[in-house]
Amino acid sequence: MDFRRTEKSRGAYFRQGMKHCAQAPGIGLFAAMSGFGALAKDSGVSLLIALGMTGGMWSTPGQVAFVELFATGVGGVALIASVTIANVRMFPLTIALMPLLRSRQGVEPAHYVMAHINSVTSFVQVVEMCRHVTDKGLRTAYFFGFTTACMSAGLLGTALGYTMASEMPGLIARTLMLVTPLFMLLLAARSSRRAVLASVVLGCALVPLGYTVSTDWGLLTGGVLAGTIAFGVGRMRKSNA
Amino acid sequence: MPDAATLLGIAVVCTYSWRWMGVVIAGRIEDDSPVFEWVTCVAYAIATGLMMKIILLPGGALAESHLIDRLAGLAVCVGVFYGLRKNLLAGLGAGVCAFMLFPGLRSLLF
Repeated sequence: MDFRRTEKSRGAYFRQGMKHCAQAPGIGLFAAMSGFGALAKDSGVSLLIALGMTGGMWSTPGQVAFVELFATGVGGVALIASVTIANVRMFPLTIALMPLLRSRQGVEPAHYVMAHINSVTSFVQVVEMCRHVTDKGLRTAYFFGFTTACMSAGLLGTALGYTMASEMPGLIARTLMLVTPLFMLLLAARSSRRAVLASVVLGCALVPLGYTVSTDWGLLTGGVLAGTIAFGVGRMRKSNA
Repeated sequence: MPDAATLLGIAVVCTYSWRWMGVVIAGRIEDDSPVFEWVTCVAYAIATGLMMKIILLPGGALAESHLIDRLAGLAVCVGVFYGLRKNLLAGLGAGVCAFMLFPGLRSLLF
């Protein structure tokens, strides 16, 4: 990331954020949300609901859990519980973001907006950006530029994927539906933390297994079990070392 | 089951409540506490497990493809990803192409 030629104004940093989103992060996000759009179309929800999920939830695991469980016709309580737990990552992610962007202790109204448009992609980008930019105001301007562009790419991708799956059934629709799972698996595999990688491997085994036992609760119980085992083993290794 | 719009409304509120709690609590607790380590583990397990479920046990249109084609896509995707130093877009592109081309390749060979 090179900020040397960027003018030191909030507007310039906002635009710089938008520009950086138009590279790999935005392309990946656009692809993942196109895949989500196709999955949403296949589950039987309307385009408006699909866009509402992208704009309102803005968290791929929960969005995908929603359409998957909606298509299976599970109970409302099981669906909401699964979606809520699938999105639990937003809690620590918000806590980690705030100190990077706020100029002083305490909560400002803008923080509630920043928390909503934050995502794993944006957070990773912001951490990298903060190594080059120290001024909190410029950081915040960059964050808003980046996330606004991300949200636009996400909504556009959702609409495109949904429309393509409607108009081009068959191979194109099927391929689109595979994009989000592959993307999310690779995104997780990029982590260098052993406990996270162990969670990924265990989750990939226990969640599909749980699903075959119970379509309502398999996702939730399998995931919580897999994550807890990975966490527990990681702690034991740490205390032994 | 309630209609999609009602469920969406509840899901949006529930999801935002995590973010809201994050804003309120930020600065009062350390973000490297064991609780967050556990939350991160569970979040990754659910997210990736769900994606693997879609690949292994898909519903709807994706179920019309063969398991072997989906697994071929996954294998090429992961192979290219690690082969090119964790390049996400290259892995994704290769996996998608493999999934599309593998059925034709199978019919040629077998």
